[in-house]
Amino acid sequence: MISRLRSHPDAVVLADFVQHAEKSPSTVRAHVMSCAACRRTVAEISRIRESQQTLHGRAVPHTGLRDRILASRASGTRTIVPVPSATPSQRRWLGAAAAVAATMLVVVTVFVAARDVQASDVSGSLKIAPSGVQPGKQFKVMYDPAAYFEDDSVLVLRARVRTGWSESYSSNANTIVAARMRRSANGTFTANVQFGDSVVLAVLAVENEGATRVDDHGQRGWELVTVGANGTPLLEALDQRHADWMGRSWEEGYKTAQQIVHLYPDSIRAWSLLRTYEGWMNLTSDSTLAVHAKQIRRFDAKLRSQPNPDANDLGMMMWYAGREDTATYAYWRERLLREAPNQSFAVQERLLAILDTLRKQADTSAALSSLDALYRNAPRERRAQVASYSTSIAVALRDSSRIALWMGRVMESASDPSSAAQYNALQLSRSPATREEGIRRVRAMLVTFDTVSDTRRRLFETRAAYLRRLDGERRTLLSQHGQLLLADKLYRAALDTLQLAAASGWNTEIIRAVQRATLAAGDTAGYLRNTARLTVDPAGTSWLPGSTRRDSLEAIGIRLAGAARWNVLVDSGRREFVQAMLANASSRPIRSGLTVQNLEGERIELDRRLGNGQLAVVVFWSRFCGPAVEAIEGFNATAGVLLQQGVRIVNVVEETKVSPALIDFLREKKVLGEVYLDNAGKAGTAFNSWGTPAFFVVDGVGQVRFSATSSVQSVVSRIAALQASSELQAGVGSR
Amino acid sequence: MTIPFRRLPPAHELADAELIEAIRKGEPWALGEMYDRHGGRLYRIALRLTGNAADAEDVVHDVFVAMPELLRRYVEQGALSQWLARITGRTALMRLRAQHRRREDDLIPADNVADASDARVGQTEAFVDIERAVAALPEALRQVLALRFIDDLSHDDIAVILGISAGASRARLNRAIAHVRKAVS
Repeated sequence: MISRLRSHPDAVVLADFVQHAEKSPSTVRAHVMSCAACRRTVAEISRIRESQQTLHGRAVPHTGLRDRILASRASGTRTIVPVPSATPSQRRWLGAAAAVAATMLVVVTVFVAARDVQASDVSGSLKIAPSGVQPGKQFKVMYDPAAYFEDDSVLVLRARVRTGWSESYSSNANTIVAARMRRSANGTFTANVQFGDSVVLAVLAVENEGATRVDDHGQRGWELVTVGANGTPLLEALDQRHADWMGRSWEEGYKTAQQIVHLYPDSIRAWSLLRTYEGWMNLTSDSTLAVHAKQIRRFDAKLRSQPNPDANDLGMMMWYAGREDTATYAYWRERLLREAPNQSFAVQERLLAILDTLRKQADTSAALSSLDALYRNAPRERRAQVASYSTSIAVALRDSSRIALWMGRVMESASDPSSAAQYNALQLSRSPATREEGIRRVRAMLVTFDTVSDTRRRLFETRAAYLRRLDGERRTLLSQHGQLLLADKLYRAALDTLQLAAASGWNTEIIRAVQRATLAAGDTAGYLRNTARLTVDPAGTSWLPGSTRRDSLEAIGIRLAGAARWNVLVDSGRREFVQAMLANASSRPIRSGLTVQNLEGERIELDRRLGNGQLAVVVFWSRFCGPAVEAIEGFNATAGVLLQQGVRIVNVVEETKVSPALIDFLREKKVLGEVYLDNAGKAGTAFNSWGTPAFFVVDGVGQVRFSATSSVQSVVSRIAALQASSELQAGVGSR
Repeated sequence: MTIPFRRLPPAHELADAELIEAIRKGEPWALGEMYDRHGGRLYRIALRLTGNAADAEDVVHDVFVAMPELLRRYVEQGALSQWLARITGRTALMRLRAQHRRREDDLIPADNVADASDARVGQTEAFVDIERAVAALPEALRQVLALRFIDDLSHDDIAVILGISAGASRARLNRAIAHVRKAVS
């Protein structure tokens, strides 16, 4: 499946693409095709590679070397060369095994801890009976409530439900009210629940009426994984479990992939998924590759012996082999396209081929005709992708009837109609020929925010959090609308719209847009006010040492307003920034006695180490998690500056013991700050960290003020807000 | 009565395990066969690390001359080529450290351009800026770039050869690409 990449692939991923484009993940291929910047990078990397191959080529040794070796040996010459202490495959297997063991330790610890929780402050306990529930069958829920539900006689059981076709990631999954539960005489809540027989996985949470408090079981929810008649979790259910954990916990997804392989060793999908997770989590090794090579051969032989293999098996075989075995991949790709052209992976291949042809021949009309034929017979899970590509082509072609057709298809195939409508509106607004219609649609969408329905509230969101999120979406839409008006030189209308967007929360992108609009409208006072706002949030300017952007804005401000007035504006902006940021801050203590291990092997109580008057960034990561490793590399420059400002950097690593490999890694990555091992697996649970990387901000008295984010920029802004807050409380001025 | 015997297949049809056994016994033809199978690849690895043909040949020579003794310490795990690559990598790096030598033959002299066609000469000249940038890379980065881009080795293979992690290999390649792109931009 193609999902959109959220950021540009790094140079190493693009180098892989240069060398073996057909083996690159489809997300990368699709991104490169649609991103001009990445295509330039790919061209430069290709050139570097070509230069090296041209200039150095396939070198061969002198023809006499063989004879020289044999002659030396025959004459009694002996040489001494360094020998590795273990064979590479052994060492890597041990490394991978340790990683798996560490992961399992974390996971097992989490599950044990969850079962032990009875009625703590924020999380109760929930049991499901019977223990194995088949799809469509009734089950009973028994909830022993959290202490903060003590005043509630009625609680609501909500569920995020997944069918076999639900998409990856949890944010858009269907969330429903499963039951209303009344408190019984013994204080517990019970309900009988029955989902439709297409529901294979449900994640449950409990909330009070009004949704001011939600028990999300540490952001895990309580899972109902449906089983077959023999009590074994269904393959579709486990597949949906991995999809549900995407973006939340790589470790849980990997654990699920392992479980699927264990239970369904004859499923090609199972092995392909495991291979995918091994890649994501940097667990690929000689031994794992050998295992997959063997499985590919097994499945290849098995499928070839079948006269009419299942279409989905054909597709999955192509996908699985594509990672490792070019010849096998090519064989099954050809068969797939010939025997099952409308299978999901076949549609993807055909889509990429059409886009490739479009790129080379630039015949948009022909491409749209091909895409139309593709869409009509595509399976439902592929339609949204075909429709979104087609829409952007139709918009570029300025063909009104085709635009209307494809936008309609985007809507009918979308899992989130609201996002789809926004997408359509923005697509229309990008082209001068359709901009007016785009602006009209954006305005129509803004009106829908006046009436809030609960259907889009996510499982773990309180109503307040949901309204804040909607507010953010509305703000974004207002900002986009304002910028469209600005592009049309409707300055006053743009300014009014943008100021409306800026009024509902702190967002430097919007503030910047307002700043531009005020300048265009000749509103000097507004321009100065927003310029001052941009200087107080590091996200508003480039803030690393040596940068001149903040100084440039300050110089402009002082020149226009004078130093005294500028200081007043900055002070006002800073107060607004602090108020807006801290409005979303929590204040949660860290569990006392929470122990981790330092690099010297000593046990440290983390809660005692934090606080002590210093702000701290606690960052959870794992050596075996690709995204976490990338994040650490990207965080280094930021960490250096924060350390200079007196902020502590506390790394908590998911490992069970200090090893030479870990030390090498820390040195190689130049990891800054303190490093501790979460060897008991309790720190992650205590912080509510369920995936890596995750950054938490802790204040000077040891309270967690901002919970998990993977955005380094967010960390910087949050730290700046806490620092500014302290300064304001201490009566320190803007300078 | 005739004594049944197993006719020895040609050397090139022997499995690695049988070849290893023959080398351990001191059979010279087996060492030659092992060189035929792995020598070219090991030479290229040594060349990428040492940067010059003479040193690369010396490294490969030392590894193969030591082979019978080396193989007595080898445990068959189906990863012979990886193991040999690792030894070759370590030998090359050890040699480099001992000599404290930087690569001198960074650029191909004009008179070494074999192809006389204008297009190829032009192409080679156009690559000079890239080659200069590559030559200016820190050794650790240049080695990874060469092994990946010239020999198409995977990061796992490079990690084995250089005694680093695959993640480190990727990180070094990332930095190498960044340096070269910046230098030629």
